[in-house]
Amino acid sequence: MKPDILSLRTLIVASAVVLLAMFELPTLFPSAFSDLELMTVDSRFKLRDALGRGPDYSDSLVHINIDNYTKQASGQGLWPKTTYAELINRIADGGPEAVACDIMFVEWADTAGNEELIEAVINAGNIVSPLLLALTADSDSRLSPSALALDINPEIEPGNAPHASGVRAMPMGGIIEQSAGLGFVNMVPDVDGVIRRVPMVTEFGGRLVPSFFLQALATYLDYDLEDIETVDKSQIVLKRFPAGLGAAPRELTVPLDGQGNLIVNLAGPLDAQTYPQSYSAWDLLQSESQTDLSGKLVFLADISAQNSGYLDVSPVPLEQAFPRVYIWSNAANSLLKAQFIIPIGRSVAMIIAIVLCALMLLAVLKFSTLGFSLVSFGSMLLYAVMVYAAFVYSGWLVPLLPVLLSLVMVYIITSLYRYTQMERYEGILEGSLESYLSPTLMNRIKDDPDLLRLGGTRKRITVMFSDIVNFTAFSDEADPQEVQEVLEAYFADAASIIFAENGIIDKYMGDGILAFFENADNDITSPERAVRCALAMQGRAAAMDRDYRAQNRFPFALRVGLATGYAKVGNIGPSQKIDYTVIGSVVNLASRLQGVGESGSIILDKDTHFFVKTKFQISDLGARELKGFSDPVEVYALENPST
Amino acid sequence: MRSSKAITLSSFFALILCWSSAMAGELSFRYGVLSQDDQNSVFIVEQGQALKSGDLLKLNFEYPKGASFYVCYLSSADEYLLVYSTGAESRGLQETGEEAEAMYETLGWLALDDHTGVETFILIASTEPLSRLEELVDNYDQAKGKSRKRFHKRITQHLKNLEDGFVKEAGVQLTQRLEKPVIAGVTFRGTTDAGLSENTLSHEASGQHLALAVFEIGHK
Repeated sequence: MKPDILSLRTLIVASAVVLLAMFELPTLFPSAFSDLELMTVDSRFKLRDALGRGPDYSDSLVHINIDNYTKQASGQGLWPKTTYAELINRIADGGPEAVACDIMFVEWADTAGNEELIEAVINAGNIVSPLLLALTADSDSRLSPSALALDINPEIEPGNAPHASGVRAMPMGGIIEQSAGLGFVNMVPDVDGVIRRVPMVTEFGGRLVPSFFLQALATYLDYDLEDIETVDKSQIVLKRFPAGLGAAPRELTVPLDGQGNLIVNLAGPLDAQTYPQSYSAWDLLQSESQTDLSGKLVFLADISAQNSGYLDVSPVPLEQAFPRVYIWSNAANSLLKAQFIIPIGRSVAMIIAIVLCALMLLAVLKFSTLGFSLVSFGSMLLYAVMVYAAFVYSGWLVPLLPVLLSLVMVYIITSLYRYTQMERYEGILEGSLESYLSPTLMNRIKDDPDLLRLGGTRKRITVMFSDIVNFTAFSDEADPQEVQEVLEAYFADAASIIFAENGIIDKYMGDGILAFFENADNDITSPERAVRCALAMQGRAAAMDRDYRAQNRFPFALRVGLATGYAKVGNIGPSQKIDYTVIGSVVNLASRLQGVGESGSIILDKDTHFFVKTKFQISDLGARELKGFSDPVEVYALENPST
Repeated sequence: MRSSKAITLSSFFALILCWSSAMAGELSFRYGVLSQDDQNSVFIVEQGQALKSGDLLKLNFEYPKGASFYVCYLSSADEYLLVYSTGAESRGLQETGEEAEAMYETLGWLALDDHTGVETFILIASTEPLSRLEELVDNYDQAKGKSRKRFHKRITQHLKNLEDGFVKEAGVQLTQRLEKPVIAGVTFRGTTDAGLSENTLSHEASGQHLALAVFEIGHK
């Protein structure tokens, strides 16, 4: 590769434009790009799960599920509140540290059982209840935080967390009053409807409202919400956060996605192996012995099919239908285990893309097309592998497609630029070489650049040697300008004729021309083409002779010698001056044959005669002694060569 | 000569203050926190003063009849207790501009237990019953475990809101030590030269619709 035909500045500018465009496109067309990127995210989760590299699930977390079995066994699709009260009482009997009740008992015309339910909440003393907020941008709120007893929560700077403008749904007043905490249960699905992240906290009326799982954890660990420091929407610091019940507190920095959401570090799909402490509510209700739940954070939810219509089941990266309560518990598990999915920002991805693009630009300048392609695709593959490995082994969620697409686009743009520059370069080279090489040789070099390599091959060729009769005397007497004009006219016509027969002009030797004709594969056509060429040249010489005689200038005639045989053909010579030429006795023979003939003659050797004797009228001149040949050489002459 | 002039001036400004308060329809109450020394002599406990376990403590207060009055106690063990409440008995303050009849109450002599820390009394007089505070404290009393902690926070927040509203309404914290302690049950604004007694009131708090005083004792 010629490095100087590619402008480094052009490459850098083009790459920079491509990078910027590729990193901005997802912003301009979010749905088109996000879907693909999110698919790669899911595939990373699946790969990690297949490799068994998911996070451990804390044994402090217990699920009591009102599942299909519970509903069927109880014989009631819709439970009366008294049954829920009974269940809460049974759970409370087990002595859990906190109960995150993911069932919203809203105010309803039917107040039957309200008293028992509230009494159960009072008796439990550790129930965390859900709240559905309006996470919209407007600030119109009909309810104040104090109406929900949220004014005890710490104040928060607007902008440090997603803003909630109001309340969409809330439990009945007695539940709000008697709960140990309230957390919002809003989940914001990605554009493909899959839940991958949950908000940590929100700002409502200037107060921090924790997400359901965070409030559950805070109640479980007796963690003071005042110790939450909302740095910005990309991280939140939990000061003095215990690693578990009774564990020493430490500062826990929770990485967020830039919009205040925690990416849920799913331990795995819903199965007994991943979530061993999942129990049917019916079993608990029917159990004669008391279930020991001491030291546990219990998640209570209705995951039955009857309840799926209330959006308590959502798709997640590992499953199409995953109970939302397990999303909450997985989020809680992330904090308990301090094992997070760490979203890597686009700026880092941009830096990686720049580095890899620089590598590709270096490759395009230094290597051949193959080398460049290998480096480019190798970089892409390496990046993809690193992205997956970073997720599986470290939980780093690095953007894949923006970088990969950028590299692909840079590769395409660079290749196109390289191709156009190469074409331009080859065009210039070809234009220059055409002055020196025959079109035949040019085409062959294009087809097989190896021809330009030093060295030749032995092959059968027909050599033509032509000479202008008495040209030395003419050039001695004539004006040099006239000599030059005569030669230029003759050489131009002769070259056209030779090239027309796919001949190669080896060199001009004064007024003589040394040309040769090669054969394609085993098809011996060079003698016939050489003869046709010689005849055409003699015809042209005759025409020139007539013209010059008419101008009273001088007679013009050629002598042509043709010899066929084996010679070495190729780039021969010292490295400073290489010629595509022929070496062999056949060249000498053609030269000597030319000398044998009379003015206007075409003399052939025995081999040439052999190949063309049936196509042309040829006379046998017998054997002649030729200089440089020890034995007499059989010589033939074409009849009527000038007609 | 100079000191008697200063006393005259301060008395004048005190009168002006009392007059302006009365003209604004102000709500005020007086209170006193007493203890006894080793010789069983009564003394006034000042704000922030340290007492030790076993020391006797007596809280006296006097508020306008018809007003709602509450004494909320936050123990050194961080437990809330509504030790005095007019509750549903209050009928609403009579705002006649005339001297209102005063209600004198006392919590009686109490001995400090062994739990050290800060003992806090929040005394509140209001023209309207503070039903929310009563409700919160009732719920707090019956709540268990972590719900009880939440009610604790909510009571704290509610008291803070009351105090903030009180300060905002009054512009300044209108709790002051009386120039001279008074014996409760004589007249609302009356003073006496009888010195200290078990019914002594030493401080006064005032506000527009709500008067609030926070009294802290260091329990060593």
